[in-house]
Amino acid sequence: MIDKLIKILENMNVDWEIYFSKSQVTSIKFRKIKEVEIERSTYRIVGGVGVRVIVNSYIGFSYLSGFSWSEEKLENLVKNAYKIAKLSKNYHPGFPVPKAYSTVKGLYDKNIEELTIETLISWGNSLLDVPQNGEASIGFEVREREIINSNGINVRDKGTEFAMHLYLYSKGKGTGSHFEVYRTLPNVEEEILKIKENASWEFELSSNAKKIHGFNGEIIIEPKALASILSVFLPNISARNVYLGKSRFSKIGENVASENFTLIDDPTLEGGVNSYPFDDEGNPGRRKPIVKDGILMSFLADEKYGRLLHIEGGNASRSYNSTPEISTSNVIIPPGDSTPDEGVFIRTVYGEHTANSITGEFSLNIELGYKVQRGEITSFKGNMIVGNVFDMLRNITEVGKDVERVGGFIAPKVATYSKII
Amino acid sequence: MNFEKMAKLIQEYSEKYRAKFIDVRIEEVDFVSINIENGKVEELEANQDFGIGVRVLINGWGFSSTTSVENFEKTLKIATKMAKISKSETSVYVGDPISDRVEIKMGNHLRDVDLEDKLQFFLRVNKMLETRKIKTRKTFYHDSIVKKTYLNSEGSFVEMVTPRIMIGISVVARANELMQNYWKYFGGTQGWELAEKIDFQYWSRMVVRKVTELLEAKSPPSGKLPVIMDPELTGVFIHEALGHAAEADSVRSGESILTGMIGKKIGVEELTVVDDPTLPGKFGSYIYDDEGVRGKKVEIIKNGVLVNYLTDRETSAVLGLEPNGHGRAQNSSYVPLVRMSNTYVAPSDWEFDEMLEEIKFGVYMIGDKGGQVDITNGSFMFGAKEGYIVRNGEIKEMIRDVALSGDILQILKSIRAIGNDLKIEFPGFCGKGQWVPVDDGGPHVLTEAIVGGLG
Repeated sequence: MIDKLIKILENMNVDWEIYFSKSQVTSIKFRKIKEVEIERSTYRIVGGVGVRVIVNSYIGFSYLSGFSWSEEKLENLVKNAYKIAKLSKNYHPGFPVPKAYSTVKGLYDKNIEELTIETLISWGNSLLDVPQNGEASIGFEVREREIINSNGINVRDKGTEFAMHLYLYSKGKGTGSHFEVYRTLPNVEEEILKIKENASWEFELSSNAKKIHGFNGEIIIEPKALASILSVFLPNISARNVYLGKSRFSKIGENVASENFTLIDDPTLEGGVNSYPFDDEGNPGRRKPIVKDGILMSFLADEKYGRLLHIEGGNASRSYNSTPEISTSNVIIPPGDSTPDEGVFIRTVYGEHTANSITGEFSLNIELGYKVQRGEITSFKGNMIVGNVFDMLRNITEVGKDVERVGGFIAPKVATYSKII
Repeated sequence: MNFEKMAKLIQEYSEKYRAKFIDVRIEEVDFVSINIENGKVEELEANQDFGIGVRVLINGWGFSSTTSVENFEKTLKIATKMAKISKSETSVYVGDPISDRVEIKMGNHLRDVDLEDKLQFFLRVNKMLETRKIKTRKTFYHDSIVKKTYLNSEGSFVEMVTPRIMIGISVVARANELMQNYWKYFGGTQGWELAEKIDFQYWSRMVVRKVTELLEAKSPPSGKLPVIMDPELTGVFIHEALGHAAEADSVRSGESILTGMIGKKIGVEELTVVDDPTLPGKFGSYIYDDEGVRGKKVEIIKNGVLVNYLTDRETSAVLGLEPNGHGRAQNSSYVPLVRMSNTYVAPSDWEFDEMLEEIKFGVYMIGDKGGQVDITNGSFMFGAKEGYIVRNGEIKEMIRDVALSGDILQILKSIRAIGNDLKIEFPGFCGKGQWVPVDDGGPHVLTEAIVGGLG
């Protein structure tokens, strides 16, 4: 099928790119209100082919969903992309050329692809073998993609992902949750224990939590909350936002954080949730230090904005039905040397989408926090944490020794100054 | 697409596997997307899309979806297999069969306007935003005509055609080290006439003025304060403070803090809150929901008393409530969940000036930046785009964007005044694992909330 499309494109005097993807998701949702029930089992297949063409430096895009197409549909697809290119006058400097990829291990596991529904059900039951009411979901995805362009890129890969999520609740009392994502099958029984332990720990703390009086000073941000807060910062490192004047930053080399803080985007991490050997334009994935010892080192870019800013691409992300966007892969904050065991800890926050990435200001609800004083833990919730992400990064006092994984975000606890109201 | 053949297959499977219920959604989408930044086209797209979603209830729910037209029977087979594997005590409301064909009419058909004309139109709109302090000016346009066909094992056959349009203008300004942004969105279930009616000159001047003023604005104060919300902020406020907790799926599971509260007084006497998918032309409007049930106007709170939840086929049957057509899905790849449509606070009789007079020190907050709620713990937050300090009944200096926070069971009782100036024209998307278009609004409302400022 793709061959037919290549033939049509080769007969035209244009630069072209084909992106094909197919994703199959199997998931089961469980619910426990006294008894464990299997609420819903789902199988979803999503896929199709997207074509981009460059006509006199202008780009056009079109796509088709599904997996088998008539010759006529394929011709119309190309015609539409061509028409859009002529009409849009959307400048594009060109598609990537072939480059060497590094091998990234642990992104596909046959054991995940071959999981049976019976196995998922037994694990789901085991996840919800808890005293509280709750919900759990468990599922896996098999993803295939293929990128071919007129510059000679011709690559394909297949990846797997397995995920488990547990949410415990008691109305008006408390909640706890935990999720884990894997690219290869872990020791699932062990992981289930860990997930239950984490969610139950949060549930216990949340059930005893009350609103506290305001506080202004040093706080310790746990990885789950740090992921939320850093999402206010990350749009500023997109090369597109830098180019269009929508980023706080215009050049690298600026001092943006305290010198004990480093932040890396690394798609080459073995078994990483968001790892890839090549990005969605066929550029190699590269480990990029974004902030190193407090200094801004690089921006994330796709081919277009990489060329416009004269930096390396490799951060494009898309599906068959959308054009590439610049995206983080695995975001890593390397460990420091402290072991914070006393103070005010922020476990989870929500509402980061209401924050302002341009000014850096945020005010978020604290879903769960706790104070540790002389070994005694008192938890709180319902307060707000307010601050400015740019100031917060500059005021980091300590970086913890132990890292945790929150999906594709890998970080330790970080101590900085902020205000709780 | 042979719908008759599909209907026959549904009957066959229903009988053969003794399904309690089967429904199928077939969606054909035709859309246009334009994104212009700083006078240049960043995105132009005109495409068609297609998908089928099949839901089967046997021992529990099975769901399967595909983007491939020839896979209907395979998808039905998989959904059936999945439904046999599931295991839960549940039932669905059935008031079928319904046979209907409905269409939300367009004044000026979206496909009667050339793509090139639309592009030129928005290039001109983008140009209107050009001024010295503006670093980035963006204009986006998105329209779609969605044809949904709904079939079920009770013999229902509903076809619906829905046009939807969304337009946005946004700017980023910079002066020295300071940066600010501001934006305005428009949208509705209408044709091109919606775009033609907008006074873009007026709104362009407005966002440019606002963003420039915001460069000079102070950080808002922090702490619990009297807050007057403008109609747009009232919309997101009520969406978060009440709407989500009134969705019957979370009531059924016992997650919502409003579980078991029907008939209880949870707000002030003056407060009435409505969710109405039948409002003509609004962004969250629809005729039938994604379960083939007619959307109905629902009073959630009447005179301070919680009187209704929003329901779908399943929750209405399980909880013994009236089905009110609030089962919605992002598209055919997703199962319908209980969702809001157009949610608003009904107007009362306060004048804006009278509200101001109530305040010694507080804030007047304006515009919607989204929000989020924790329905189990009962707290929520919502963002405002800008505001003003109110001192001794007078509007004083401007303050920047900020999020506010409150507790569901307290804040609705802390409302001190509800205005007489209802507006429901604030389109957006609501997320609950999947996105659906919604609108919300209300009049000016005076309450007390925690303001999360740095000042």
